[in-house]
Amino acid sequence: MSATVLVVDDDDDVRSLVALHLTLTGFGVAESDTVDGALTALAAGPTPDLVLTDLNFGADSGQRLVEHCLAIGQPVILMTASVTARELPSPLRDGVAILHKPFSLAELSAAVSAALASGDAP
Amino acid sequence: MTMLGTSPSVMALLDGLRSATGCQVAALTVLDEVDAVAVHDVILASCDDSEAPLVDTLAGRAWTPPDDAVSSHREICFPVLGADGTTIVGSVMLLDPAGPPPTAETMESVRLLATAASTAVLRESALRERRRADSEADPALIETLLAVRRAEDQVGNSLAVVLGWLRVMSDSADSPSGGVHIAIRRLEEAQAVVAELLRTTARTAIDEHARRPVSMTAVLREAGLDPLAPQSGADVHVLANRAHLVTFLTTTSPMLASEAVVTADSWLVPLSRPDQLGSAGLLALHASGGTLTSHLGGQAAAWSRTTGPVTA
Repeated sequence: MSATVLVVDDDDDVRSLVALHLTLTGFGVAESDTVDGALTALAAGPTPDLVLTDLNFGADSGQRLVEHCLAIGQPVILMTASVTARELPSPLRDGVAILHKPFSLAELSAAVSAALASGDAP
Repeated sequence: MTMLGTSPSVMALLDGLRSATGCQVAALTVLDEVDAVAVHDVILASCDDSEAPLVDTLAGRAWTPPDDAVSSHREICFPVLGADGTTIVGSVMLLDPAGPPPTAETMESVRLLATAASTAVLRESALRERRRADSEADPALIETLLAVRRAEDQVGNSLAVVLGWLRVMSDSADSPSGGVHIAIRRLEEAQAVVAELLRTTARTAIDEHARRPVSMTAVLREAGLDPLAPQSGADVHVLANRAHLVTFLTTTSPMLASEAVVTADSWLVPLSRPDQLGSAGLLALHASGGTLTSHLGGQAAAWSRTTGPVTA
């Protein structure tokens, strides 16, 4: 059974592209364009193997989702163009993988594979 | 491939520059006019304590790009490092005048990636400024930081989409239709964001430079070097039409990473003219972490007049 990834981004083009690429490379993909939508999806289940989330959601922040994922032991990758790891609060800095935009699809695949291969992944 | 290690002359030059200016940050990148830049001479060496080469260019390959590098012109590029000294926060590509003419798509990539590098350096400068002390922080610089962050995110999203769709379309003849239209639209959006960012950052850079000017001519003279000629052993010199445009100082040392570029006076002067802001070809930010030494006072005065060429 293929691994599943929840892609969370309010940029429709980015989210669609990431979802398309992951689908084409054999992953099961779910999408959300809001942090609240992602939190609801996580609560409702089934739990994805990995959450891939943007940081900036207009007035909202993906940091909230990342913090929730870390609290429940959910592997998560933060996609961002504007924040480096050292700018994050230390709990996040230590616990989340960062995929810097603009990333290539090869970098995306590598980051997802690494996250799923880590000890946190099922 | 030629790899140049740390050399005493490079370290001496850096020490001289640092001693002469007390400068922690001097950043610049070529933006709008990057397509007019020809690299006639590049002398490069890494300057980190480990002696690991950071970049070499022209003589070989500056930085081995990932397999899916956006363009073959990346062989003439070098990374811009973040303050941690190891994270590549951007990259600048320079075109080899002896190479094949770049395509329009390549030039867009060059422009956008150069902008990404510049904004990263600018952000580092602004963050450092903010850390120094809130009371000393320049509100305009902080506001620019926020604008840069927003722009970085927008441009980052757009570039991810553009590069991604190009890859999808390249890999599969059955890729969904419409990808090229999405890529074009996002590229245009990114261009608009970059243009606005240029205006914002150029104004901030001018103000910052007026506040704490750093003159390449003065710096080099203070370091006992000839400002009219490329300096043997310096990091990277870029010339256009045989005019010395910029010197890139590259290093992996956390203490030195922010010293990105010192620019020639002749490129800074146009930025001081408000009527030329819209077509400003470069972005310069000088956020000095130290106290300007008195010997640059003449430069500061000359710069503040903002009406004519700076003479050292």
